[in-house]
Amino acid sequence: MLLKEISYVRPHSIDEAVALLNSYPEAGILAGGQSLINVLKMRIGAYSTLVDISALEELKQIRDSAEFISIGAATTYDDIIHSPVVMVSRPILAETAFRIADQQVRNRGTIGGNCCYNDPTCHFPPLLTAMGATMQVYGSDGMREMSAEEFFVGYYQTALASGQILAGIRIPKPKRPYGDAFVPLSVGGTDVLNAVTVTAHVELDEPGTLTAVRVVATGVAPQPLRMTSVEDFVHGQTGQFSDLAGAVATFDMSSLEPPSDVHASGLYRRRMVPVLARRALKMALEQVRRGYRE
Amino acid sequence: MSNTPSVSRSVAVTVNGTTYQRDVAARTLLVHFLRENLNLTGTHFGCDTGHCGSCTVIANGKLIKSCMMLAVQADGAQIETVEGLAEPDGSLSPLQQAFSDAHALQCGFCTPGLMLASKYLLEHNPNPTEEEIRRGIKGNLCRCTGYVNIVRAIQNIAADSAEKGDLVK
Ligand SMILES: Cc1cc2nc3c(=O)[nH]c(=O)nc-3n(C[C@H](O)[C@H](O)[C@H](O)COP(=O)(O)OP(=O)(O)OC[C@H]3O[C@@H](n4cnc5c(N)ncnc54)[C@H](O)[C@@H]3O)c2cc1C
Ligand code: FES
Ligand code: FES
Repeated sequence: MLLKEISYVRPHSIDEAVALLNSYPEAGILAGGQSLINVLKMRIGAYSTLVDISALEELKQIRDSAEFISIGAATTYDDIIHSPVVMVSRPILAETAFRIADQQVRNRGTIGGNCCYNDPTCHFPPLLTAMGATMQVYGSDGMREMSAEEFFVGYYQTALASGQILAGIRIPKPKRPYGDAFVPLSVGGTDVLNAVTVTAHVELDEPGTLTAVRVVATGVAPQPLRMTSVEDFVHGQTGQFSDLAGAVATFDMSSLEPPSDVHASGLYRRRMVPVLARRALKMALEQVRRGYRE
Repeated sequence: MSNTPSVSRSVAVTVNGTTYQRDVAARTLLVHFLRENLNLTGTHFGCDTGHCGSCTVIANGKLIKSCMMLAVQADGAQIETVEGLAEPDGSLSPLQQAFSDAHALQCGFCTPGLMLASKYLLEHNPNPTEEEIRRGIKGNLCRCTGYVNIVRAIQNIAADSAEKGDLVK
């Protein structure tokens, strides 16, 4: 489909990208284009100027430090999949990126675009929430940091203000052994269209108790939802903890009001939350016990 | 600011080794640029939503869907399309021959995209399992064949090149 007439510019630096965003009233970022081009075709959203960051090397770096890995917003899924740093420090990022769509989409789509689009079926918002990631937001007044929970504010909504871009994401390196699990309910075939997803993270500390427990459900509320009562139940248990049903039963499923659409009814989504939560916790706990992520 | 947004641009795009210099509107999709400006109609246009893969090409070494990228984004890029697969004398490349031999096409609409996806897969994984093949061509839909012969064509060429000890061209 022919797009509406649009202006295009390819900035040479992140500062120039921000300056352009702030100089042209209806300017927007074009990253991998794997959502935005369709949005423009269907006239769902309208930018009159596209600021293309897809070739900006500054935003495509994966960096390793003692406590974090940092991933530039314009890093593609395929680059994440092939990153040795990710493979050593947080392989769930590569495993999850590998589940997205197909080779063509993975070669163009970016982690930053995935977060800024924030479709409830997007893979990274729930994963980054469960990992306790920090989002680095850059605007004309410099860099600001916020947690993933502060960043993802609603369906297709983020905390980005106009004129700001997501520059990168900082992901903490967990204490080992730890477990990371991503368990989707895919209704369009294997790994296609995740109607509901539960992601879980746990760590085992020195005295042998479970800590840093995070369980996040998505597709059932406007934001990736922390299941805090489940987290509190598991926190402080031993590594042998196995009462998954008991942990999940603490969460009041009736409080959820998930949307109904052609892919799944709200009731189906709600009923799948405890099933997926048990599976995700089980998987993360098995990793802890096997020292899989050691 | 040195860089100002514009509704059209002059681009230089190298397709199958030939560099084309053209003025193109910013709203032009790469697939339309290839088909309509350059008359390279081997790259097909199906769903227009990034799902079917019939517009698949290789851009700067990466397999992509050309309906999901703007032509202006390809400025300076090296693009490979189905027209670049055959040998210089016009005979079929081993990959094309393998598709023909295994009867891996019926109507042929999906075939250019599938051959580029196969080429990309075999360049990255010269000896794929059936599961890896099916994953590798997941972004390319075929309404006719049921995929069995496509998978077979890719298996045959992988086995062939393993025998000859060379990589797929
Ligand atoms: C066939 C198909 C299947 C797909 N399946 C899945 C799937 O299973 N799971 C999944 O998660 N995704 C899926 N996607 C979507 C894909 O992952 C997109 O790549 C992603 O949603 C957006 O990333 P992008 O880099 O392509 O961003 P774009 O499409 O370029 O941008 C998306 C939005 O984010 C904004 N934006 C992008 N980067 C920034 C930034 N750094 N700062 C500020 N704003 C920014 C843009 O302005 C735009 O509004 C699929 C896409 C296709 C075509
Ligand atoms: S036409 Fe591009 S994916 Fe279908
Ligand atoms: S041969 Fe007809 S779509 Fe594949």
